[in-house]
Amino acid sequence: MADVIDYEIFGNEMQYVEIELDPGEAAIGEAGSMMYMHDGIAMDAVFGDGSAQQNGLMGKLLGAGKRLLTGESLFTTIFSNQGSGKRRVAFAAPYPGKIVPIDLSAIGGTFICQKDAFLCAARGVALGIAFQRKIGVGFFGGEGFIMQRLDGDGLAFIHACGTLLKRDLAPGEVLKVDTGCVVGLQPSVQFDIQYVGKIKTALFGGEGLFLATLRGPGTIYLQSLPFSRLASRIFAAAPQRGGARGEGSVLGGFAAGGLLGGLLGGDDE
Amino acid sequence: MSEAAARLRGVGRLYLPDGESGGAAAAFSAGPEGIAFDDGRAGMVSWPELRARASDYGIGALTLEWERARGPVALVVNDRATLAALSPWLPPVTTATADDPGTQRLSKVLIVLLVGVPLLALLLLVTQAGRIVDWVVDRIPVATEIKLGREAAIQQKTTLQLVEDHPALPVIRELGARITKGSRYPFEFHIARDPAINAFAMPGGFVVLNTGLLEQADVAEEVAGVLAHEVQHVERRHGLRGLVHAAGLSMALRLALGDAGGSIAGAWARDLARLGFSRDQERDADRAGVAALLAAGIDPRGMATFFRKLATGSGSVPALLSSHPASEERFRAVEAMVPSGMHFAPLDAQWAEIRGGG
Repeated sequence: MADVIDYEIFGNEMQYVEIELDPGEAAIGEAGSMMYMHDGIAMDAVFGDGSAQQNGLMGKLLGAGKRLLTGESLFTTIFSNQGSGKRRVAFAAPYPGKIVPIDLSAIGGTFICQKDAFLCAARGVALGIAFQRKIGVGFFGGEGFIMQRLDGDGLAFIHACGTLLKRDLAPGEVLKVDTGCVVGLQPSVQFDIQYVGKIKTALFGGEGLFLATLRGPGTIYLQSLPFSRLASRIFAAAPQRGGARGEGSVLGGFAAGGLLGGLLGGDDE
Repeated sequence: MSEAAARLRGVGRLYLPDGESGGAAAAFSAGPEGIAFDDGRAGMVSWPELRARASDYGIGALTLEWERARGPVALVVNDRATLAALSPWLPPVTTATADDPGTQRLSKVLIVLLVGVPLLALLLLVTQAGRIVDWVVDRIPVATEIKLGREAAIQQKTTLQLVEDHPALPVIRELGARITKGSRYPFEFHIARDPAINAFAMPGGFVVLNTGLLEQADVAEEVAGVLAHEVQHVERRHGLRGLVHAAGLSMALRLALGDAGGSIAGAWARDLARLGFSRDQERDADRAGVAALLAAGIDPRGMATFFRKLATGSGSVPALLSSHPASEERFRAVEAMVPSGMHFAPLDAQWAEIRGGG
């Protein structure tokens, strides 16, 4: 049984979540996401995710290895209230977006989300990985082959870029989504990709060759802005050719730097 | 065994077509005839009506689906013990571990294209670089090259400290004019204040000599040698070739590495471009430079003596040599090109006084 925690989410586009811990309760946070905590909360870095499923050395190693696969730190941090009254700890999102609480007990105990989406959870929630076994979806679905899996019966907080939308799909209901916009889904939802069917749309509509199709029943979360899209816009706008003047003979700095950059460095979006 | 004892009780999430959003927990009992729900709205379903689907992600849960007049209904069962008890009655479970056949075919083709084409392009570019670059360069008109060079020169001028009143400038311009007589490029000769022993030429004819280089030259013939060599890099379009090569590589890398690779590709291409000219191009520039000097009546041995002096001199390798690899064989080749018994009028005798900038 995971700890029952209270929480409050602050902020609009750059949010943080404040979690209230009763004495003896604890929360786990993604390494580096803690913003502040009250005195009386003890912080302990653990290998893996600190859940009951990961007892023993092998279990811990396995759990840590899985976290590595999802591109996260080998360690998670456990924040436990060792004082006598209620204490609070806050976790901040690393980029603009929304923090969403997911009550795992209310959605059947398992939730699958994007890598990096996990922010924090009540102690007792296990972090794992889910493999995408459809090659096409893995390559073109926008989420890759490895997704994060949250198991347990407590609250977990996920975070994604842009505005988050929660949709409950009825049995057989299909929603077509831009690849990369799927934040998370219940395992009962079927995730496929579908060829858009028109080269013209793919080339000139800017929507890509595939759309993700999500088929109910189950709950899905969508994001309005995949982080990679934001990143590529920022990258495209950032000055990339600063300083260093080339010495070489003819082509010095101008060749690839100025001219070529200008010729080739178009906006990808 | 009584009928009641054989019935299995379980809990799952029931999704009705007009049910609560996100489904609701529903208790059910199961027997040989089917599943009966405690909630009257779902009623009962017989086993042949059911389709069972496993999660795409290999998670133990099963989704059971069936049709009702109001629409499809689904029951998601997570509990392993319940699933094990239900299994004798369940229809064959379908697991969607593969894309549908159409998508499968298409994604195979796409993956091959996305991986194969850039690899092929890269391979072609690496193995056939010379030919491809020649082909492209031959199709770029001189006027375009001059225009490109002008733009680059304007950019470059802002980073260079050009000395317009250097006493050696008239001598260099006169030498340059002699060497480039009848050229299709409008050459421009400049002196930049920079202690590095270096000289460079840009496509289109913008040639710059550093003050550091001028100070190292003992006689005007040596400067003429450097000038002739740089001029030939322009005449033989070596710079343009390097640019085309780098652009091609950058484009191929971009294709191979995708959008994210664009920046990496840019940086690589920049580094590649800085590698400068190949040995063949250097030899080519030497040979043509000597020919140009001979035609202008200037002693070409200055070129060899100057490079040799820099190569054997003490201290670090001058910038000029790092971009123009020096070898004794190269100097000899230059000297061998000078017909024996030829006499040249010596150049400006005042060189020693003006080279330092007065």
